[in-house]
Amino acid sequence: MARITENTKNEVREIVYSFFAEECEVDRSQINDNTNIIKDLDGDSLMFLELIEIFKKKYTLDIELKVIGKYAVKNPVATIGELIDMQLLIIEHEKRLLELEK
Amino acid sequence: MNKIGIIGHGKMGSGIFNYLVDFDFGLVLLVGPEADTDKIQKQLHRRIRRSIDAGIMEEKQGKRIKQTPISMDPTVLADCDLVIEAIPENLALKVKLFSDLDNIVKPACIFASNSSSINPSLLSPGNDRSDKTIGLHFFYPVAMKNIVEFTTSLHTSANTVEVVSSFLRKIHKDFLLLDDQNSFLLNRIFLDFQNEAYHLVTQEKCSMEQMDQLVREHFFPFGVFDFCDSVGIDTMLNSVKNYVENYSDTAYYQPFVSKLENLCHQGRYGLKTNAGFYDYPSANTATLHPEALSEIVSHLRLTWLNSVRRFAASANLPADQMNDALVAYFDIDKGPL
Repeated sequence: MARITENTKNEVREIVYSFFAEECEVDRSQINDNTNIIKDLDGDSLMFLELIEIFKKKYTLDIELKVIGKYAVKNPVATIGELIDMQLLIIEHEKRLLELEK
Repeated sequence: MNKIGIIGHGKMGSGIFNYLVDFDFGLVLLVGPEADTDKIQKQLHRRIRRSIDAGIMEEKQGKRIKQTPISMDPTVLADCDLVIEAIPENLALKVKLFSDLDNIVKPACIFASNSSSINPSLLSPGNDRSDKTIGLHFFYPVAMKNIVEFTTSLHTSANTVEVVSSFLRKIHKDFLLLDDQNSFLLNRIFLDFQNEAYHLVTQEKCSMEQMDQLVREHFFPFGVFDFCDSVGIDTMLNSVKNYVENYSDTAYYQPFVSKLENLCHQGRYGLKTNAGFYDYPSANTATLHPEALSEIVSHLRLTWLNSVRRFAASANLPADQMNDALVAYFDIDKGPL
C-alpha cells in the first residue's frame, strides 16, 4: 500500500490536467476540478483507460484493469477532480482497491 | 493472422481498434462518411506519442501503428485476414456492408460482426463466404471486459473456428463458443432478469427505484432500469426484439417490449436524452420494507438461476465456463452455478 504524499498528488494532478488539455484541445486554464469530462470536454472512456495505463507504468502498479472496471462501475467518475481522486486511490490501494467497499 | 480491419468508429469500433493496437497485428480502420479521419489520425498519433513518453510503448511499435490506414475507402481492407464490423445495429446496413466487401477483400478473409443481436447466418454475403462469417460480440468497455461471445453458424468451417479461437487467445480474451441457436447468451440471460424485474414493478411489488436499489445491493453493480437508460432505450428495444422473435413465449416479454416502445415514441431514449425510465439527474434513492425486499430478492434469484441453468444446458456449457463468463459480464464476484 503506497503512501500518498503531496508530491504524488501534485504529479497526478499535473498529468491529468495536461492530458485532458492536450487530448481535448482546450486551454489548460479552462479546466478545473469541477470540469465534467464528458459534457464539458467531450471526453470518453478510452481517455480514462489510457490514463490508467500511464499511471500503472509510472508507479509500477499491481492492479488489473478489470479490478478498476469493477470499482468504476460502482463509483463512476464525472469530473476531473473525481478522476484525480480515483487515480490516487488506485495508486494507494492497487489490487486491494475493491476492499475499500467492504 | 496478420492483418485485421475494423469497420466503424463508434463506441465499440474504437474500443476494439484501441484494444488491438497493443498487439502485433497490422491494423486498418474503415470509417463512415460522417467521420473526421484527420481528427481520428491526430488522436491516434497523440496517443502513440504519450504512450512512448510514458514508457508504455516502444518507438518501433509506435512507428508501426502510425502507419495504420484510416480511411473511408473499403479497398483498404483488400488484404485483411479478418474484418470486424461494428457499425450501427441495423440488419440491412450490415448485410450491404458484407455484400460490398465480399467483392473487395481476399477470399480467405474472415467476416466477423460485433452485433449484439443479429446472427452471423443472416449476414453472410453468399456461399463462398458463409464458412467464414461469424459473430464476435465484444463487450463495453472492450479493454476491461475480458469475455467475447464467438458465434458460429451451421456453415462455419472448423478452420474458421480454429483461426478465430487462436486469435482470441492471442489477444487474451476468454470466449464462449456458441452456435446461432444460443447466440448472445449473456444478454439473453440478463433479459430474462430485466423482464422479470419489470413484471414485478408492474405488479406494484415495488417501484423502479426500489427495484434498482435492491438489484444493486443483491445482484449486480448496476440496476435494471438505469442499465437500460445507460445503454439507450432504442438500442435495447432493437436487441430485445431480435432476441425474442423466435421464442415460443414472446407474450411473456411483450409488456417489457411495449414499455421500451412507448419510451421511444416519447423520445425518451435514456441517458443520452436525459430521460428514459428515469428523468435525469435522478436522485434514485428508495427503501423497501424488509419482508417485501426478501420476497423480491428470492423471486429474482430463482429467475436468475433458472435462466442461467437453462441457457447453459442449451449451449452445452460447463458450469465453470458459464460462471466465469457471468463474472466477467456482470462484474460480480462469483457465478451462480
